[in-house]
Amino acid sequence: MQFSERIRELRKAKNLSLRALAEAAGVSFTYISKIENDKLDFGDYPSEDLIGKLAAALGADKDELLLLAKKVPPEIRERLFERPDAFRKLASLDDAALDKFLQDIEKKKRKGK
Amino acid sequence: MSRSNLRFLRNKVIDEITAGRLREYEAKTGEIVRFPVPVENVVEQVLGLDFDWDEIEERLGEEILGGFDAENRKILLNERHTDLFEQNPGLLRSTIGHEAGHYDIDIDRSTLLHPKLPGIELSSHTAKRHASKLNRTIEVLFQRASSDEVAWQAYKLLTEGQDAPEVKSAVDRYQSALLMPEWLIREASERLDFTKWSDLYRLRDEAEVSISNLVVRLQRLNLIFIPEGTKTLYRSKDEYTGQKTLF
Repeated sequence: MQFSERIRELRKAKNLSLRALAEAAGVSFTYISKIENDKLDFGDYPSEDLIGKLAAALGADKDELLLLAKKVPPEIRERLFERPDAFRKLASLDDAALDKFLQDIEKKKRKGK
Repeated sequence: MSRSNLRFLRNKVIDEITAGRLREYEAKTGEIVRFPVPVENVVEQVLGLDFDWDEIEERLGEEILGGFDAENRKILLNERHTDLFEQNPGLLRSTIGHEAGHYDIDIDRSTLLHPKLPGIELSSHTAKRHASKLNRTIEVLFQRASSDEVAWQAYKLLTEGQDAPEVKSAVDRYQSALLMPEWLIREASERLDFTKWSDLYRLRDEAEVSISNLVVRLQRLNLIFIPEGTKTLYRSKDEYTGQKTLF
């Protein structure tokens, strides 16, 4: 799903009008309309700050919206800079290996409980 | 609803259609409709239409506020008038209501997804204008009538035989009924004095509509009468006639 579609979907699910969402996020309603219709003039996605406001107004997961906007959530970015070696290894895994790795983590988590 | 039936649409029928849409909205969302009527939400939640902004071509002397992109089920608002819309939310709301009317009572929805064949023109009362970002021609209905004789004739044909005295298209009556449902207007009449302009302006602000839109609606519902050439408000023509005979 694309960022634009997700914003529209979340907004409609909360029955918010373009104007109501715009007011909550502190931008114009035409700007929200441009986001939803993939028509932003400068850059493909809104700023991280605005995405945070949109997530708050929509009761959505900010990280989900950031990732859909091809942005890395700050906490993940921080860890990436702290442990680039680990992220490099993760990035080199194929999907099957990555899935197995995630399953192992989940198993360990469950055992720890 | 087919275009051929549109000319026979009386105010009462349009009121029933819009009231039905508002009831559908209430049932779907659990929210009671009050002033200002949440027209954008109704259009999205009940009619299933989306909004978009685009630069719609205007010819000399024209002011096109919006159009309807039937293929994408989108109400297109003209970016050229963004400032006007921002300054006047009532205008934005009536434009949305007007375009929703095209979808709900004007356009034959069964043909929406069928591409138009080369050489097959839209009906004569439909103006075609270019939306630059979409790079497509969209339908701009009726609004051309003010500057085009053919469109004006078609416009007159459509409104001929309908409820006098307004010379308004069916879609304009639709937007007016959608934004100002009869039951909310009648409720307001219990607490406001419609013979006072100050009260009408209060209702205008509550309903987030333009004063001219409100006045036409009140006249249509026979709740006010304004003698031609005056700005005096009466409750009815009878009241005005009765007062005249006193002098």
